[in-house]
Amino acid sequence: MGLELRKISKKFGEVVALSDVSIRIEKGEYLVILGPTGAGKTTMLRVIAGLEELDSGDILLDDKIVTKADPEERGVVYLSQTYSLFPHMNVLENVEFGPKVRDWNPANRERIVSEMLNLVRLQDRVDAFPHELSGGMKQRNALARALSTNVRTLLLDEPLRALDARLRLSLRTELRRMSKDLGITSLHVTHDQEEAITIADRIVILRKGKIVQIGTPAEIYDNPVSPFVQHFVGEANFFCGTIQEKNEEGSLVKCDGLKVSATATDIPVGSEVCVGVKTERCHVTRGKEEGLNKLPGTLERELFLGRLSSIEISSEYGNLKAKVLAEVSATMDEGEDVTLHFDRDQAIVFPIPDEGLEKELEVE
Amino acid sequence: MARGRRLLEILSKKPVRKGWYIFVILFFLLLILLPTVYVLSYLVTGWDDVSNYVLSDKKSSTLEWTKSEDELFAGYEAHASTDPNFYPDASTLEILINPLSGHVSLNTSRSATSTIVNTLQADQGHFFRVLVVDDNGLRAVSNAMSDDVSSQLSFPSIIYLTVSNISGDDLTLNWTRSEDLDFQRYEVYYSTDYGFVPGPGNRVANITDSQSNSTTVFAPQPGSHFYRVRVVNSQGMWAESNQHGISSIGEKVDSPVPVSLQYTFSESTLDSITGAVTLSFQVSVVATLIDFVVGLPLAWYLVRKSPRWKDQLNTLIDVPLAFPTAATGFSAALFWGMTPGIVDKPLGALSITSSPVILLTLLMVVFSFPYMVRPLASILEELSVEYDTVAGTCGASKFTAARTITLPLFRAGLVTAVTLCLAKTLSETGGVMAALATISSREVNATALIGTWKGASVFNPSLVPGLAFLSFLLIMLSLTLIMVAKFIIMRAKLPIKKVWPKFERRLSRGWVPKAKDVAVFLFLIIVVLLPAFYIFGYAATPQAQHADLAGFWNSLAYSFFVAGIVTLIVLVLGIPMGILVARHKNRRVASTLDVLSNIPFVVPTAALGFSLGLFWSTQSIIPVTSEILIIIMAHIAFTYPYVVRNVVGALEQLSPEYEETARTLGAKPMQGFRRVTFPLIKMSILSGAIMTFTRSVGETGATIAVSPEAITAPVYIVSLIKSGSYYVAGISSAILIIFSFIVILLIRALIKRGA
Repeated sequence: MGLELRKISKKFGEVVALSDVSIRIEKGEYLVILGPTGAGKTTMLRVIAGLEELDSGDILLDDKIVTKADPEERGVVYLSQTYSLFPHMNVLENVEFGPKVRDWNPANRERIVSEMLNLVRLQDRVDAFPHELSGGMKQRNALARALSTNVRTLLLDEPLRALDARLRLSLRTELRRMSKDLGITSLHVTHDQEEAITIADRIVILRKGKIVQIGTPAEIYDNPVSPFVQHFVGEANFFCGTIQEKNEEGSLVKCDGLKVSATATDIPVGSEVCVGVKTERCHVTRGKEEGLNKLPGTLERELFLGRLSSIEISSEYGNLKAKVLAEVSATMDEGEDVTLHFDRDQAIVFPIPDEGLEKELEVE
Repeated sequence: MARGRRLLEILSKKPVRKGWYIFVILFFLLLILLPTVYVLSYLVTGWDDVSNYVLSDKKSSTLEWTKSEDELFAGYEAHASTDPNFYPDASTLEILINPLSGHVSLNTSRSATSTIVNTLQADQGHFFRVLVVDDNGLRAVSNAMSDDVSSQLSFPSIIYLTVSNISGDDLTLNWTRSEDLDFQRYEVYYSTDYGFVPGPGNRVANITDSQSNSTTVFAPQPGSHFYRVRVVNSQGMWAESNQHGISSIGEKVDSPVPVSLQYTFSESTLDSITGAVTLSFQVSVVATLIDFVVGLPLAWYLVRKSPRWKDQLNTLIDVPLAFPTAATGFSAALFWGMTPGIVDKPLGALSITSSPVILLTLLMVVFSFPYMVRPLASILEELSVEYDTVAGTCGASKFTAARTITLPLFRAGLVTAVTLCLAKTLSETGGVMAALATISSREVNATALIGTWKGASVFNPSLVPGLAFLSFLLIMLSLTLIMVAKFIIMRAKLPIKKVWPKFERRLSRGWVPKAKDVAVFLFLIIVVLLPAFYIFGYAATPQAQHADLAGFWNSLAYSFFVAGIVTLIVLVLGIPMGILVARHKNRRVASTLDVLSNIPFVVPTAALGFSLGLFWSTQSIIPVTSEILIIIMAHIAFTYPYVVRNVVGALEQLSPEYEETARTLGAKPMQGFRRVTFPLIKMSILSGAIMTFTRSVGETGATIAVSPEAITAPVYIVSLIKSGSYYVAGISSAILIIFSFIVILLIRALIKRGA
């Protein structure tokens, strides 16, 4: 057993940062905590590290309760967004810091420090000070510093945020590889859903201090539990209406003039629901077509993204979005009549959120 | 190493840490803050005394006389009466100056050659005499002086009696001739009682020849015979000689030599207080305005023109901050002031003013100028030059841009600068006393008045209510002035709406800006730097006088000892307080502590010292009677904010993440502080420590307000100047400055190495 959070809650004044959060994280697991700004992600890492006191609940590391333990007693390393490399120490001194304050014997210390410096490929820059390092080197230096304490659990707070786009892509796989090689349990906080999907064993979706969903990237992507998750992890189009009929195969939802054939649901016939379809799972064809899961409209805007293009369509059912292959969008012009369609399996039925759909989808 | 680690571990334990923080807070609240404002509580409990001695129609009469050198000296007595012809006795005794009444050493009593009588009615004229009493109970009476300017009476000066030619039963009395123009006669008194009071009954001879100065009397042996001679003028006013005589066993029994009463001045007590306070505020406000007018262009020049020798210039501006103010005050007063006749005009000095107001204003500019330039320059550094550039590209002239764009942006910096200048100038004591003594002026500002009265209160406890009232007034008015200044600066509508392009363009080009720069530099050199550094020139000029520095070395050792202890304690207590203020989770607690820890900063140190002395002498829970301990406590109180401020400032700049990261990497709290936080804020701590040390070494006001007997270096220098030993004072000042610098360099080296 690696790390377990039992119903932890934390408030700052009136602001709820975490409320009743429980998770079990396996040893060696790479868990990504994904959520919008202000969801409580950083607070979650900070309470695990012992930098904030909990209001209630318990934290267990290897089945031992450490809720009240001081940060230095937990064996959990927290890596802040800015890495917090000690500015008055060089690369080597930063990496040596942990072993030194733990008073390890010098031979042992030297061995592990040079091992870690090799691992992050900074053995040639031991004399450099943080301000002389590039963003990537800083990150690797901070990582080496964390790993040299024989850490079992690593808390990474947006570790890739300060890096430029290309480096971010290469470093995120490296992060995962290193942590897996060393068998470390990692909690990685991000607000970037693409980053989450690529590196996580499991993703926790956190929102307003609560866990919305836990699951593998595929589960999160394909079986979102709420419109929020579906929209946050890859955008989605939503239609609200009532369930007309349903069976084991699927359901039929009537939204104003539109009939949508969607996946099966437990929600009884006649209930108000919304149906969400990921924009990446929508298709667009030229010309107006009517029918089940077909929404005619006018192409408003095309945004070239590289392999894909993002298309915005205005229809009588509202503004719709789709992500389609660039080759497909290239054949269409702005102002042209088009039709958006999707498969029944991609349309997921959700109950109407308590606060309304609009509130549900807000990320701030 | 292992022991150090264990200590770290113990100090890192939560209860130990918590306990330590609680100790720090309690120490601050109970032993720094409470004593600092304790005077307020005195005003409540001692209100009757205040209204009796201060608010009623009483006057304060200052008496000054020459020092008695009598071997059997036991004390002085100050007497007062409305009767010009009074003979000092128990009914006219006002103040007793002896070791018993003041609980001080005999030496201190002997040196107390001035006092303040504050029990007399202001609407009456009084006559004063001072007695010297010796171990045998024999007395000598001084000449009389009156504080009644309308009185037409004049008094003869004292004469001295000696005895010669003791042959057989004859005795020759010799006395010093009276120089009085109004001389009428000498009267010779005789008695067989050694404690006799001269009177008609025991007058034995009248001599009307003013040139006569001896007479022979018949004194049969064995037998006791005692003589005094009086000089009397046409108004019947007299002065009396010392007494000579022979006891029945043939032993000579002589009274002490009388002292000469040299000065008396009376003023309504309330008027003294308001006059001194008014002078303080007047000088402070004018000096601050001058600072601003000159400091702003100088700061601008330093930051925006960034001259090549900017660093050197900065250092030069800051250096006087490290000078003990008594030394600077002496230096500036020698430079500007007209020294009394007994002293030659120092070489190269301007010697152009004898006005205490002008001299004090000039002096305050020297003291406070760096406090104005520093904050203005640092806020200008932060303000991007882009604003000016943008305004320029919009067509504004440089002057217009500076006036309408940049100036309004640094109100906050101006508040800091003005607060510092006002606090500094209102608080200044040592420099004021040194400067006023240099030009032999008896004018006093509020802090110097606290010093004078506190000194006199050792033998005259009835001065305490006046002191308390004065301290209270000074504290309250200082706080009010600083708040008002703050309010005005933050709220004042600046004349920035209107623009006069042509006129302002002319101001921005050609000779005007150049003339401004030149004027500012001339000011800096002539008004700030030359007066501050003049002391070195003075001390280096050889003089015929021999400089006896033994007393100074003692006082220097005393000062450095106190400052060293104070710096240590302030570091140990101030750093945790700074951490609490900057890092406490509960912002309300933190900001309360922040405000509280700044209070000693704006309380004038003389008032603080008085309040603190009152606290330690009144409370009986912690029995501290040691002078040096109370002085150390006082110095801790006013230097405490320097360290706290600096630590808070540095920590607010420093992200808490460093320390947190260190903790998660396995560092105990103390390890995290020592290895990560401390190295990152040590320069701020260093400058706080240096400030603490120099302010403690240089402090006069708090020291004399706590204990008139403590001879710290600046107090000693002030006393040297008062006694006219200018040259010794000059050399001492120069040495004091040089030693302060050496210690600053040492502290710097120590802290650098310690990290």
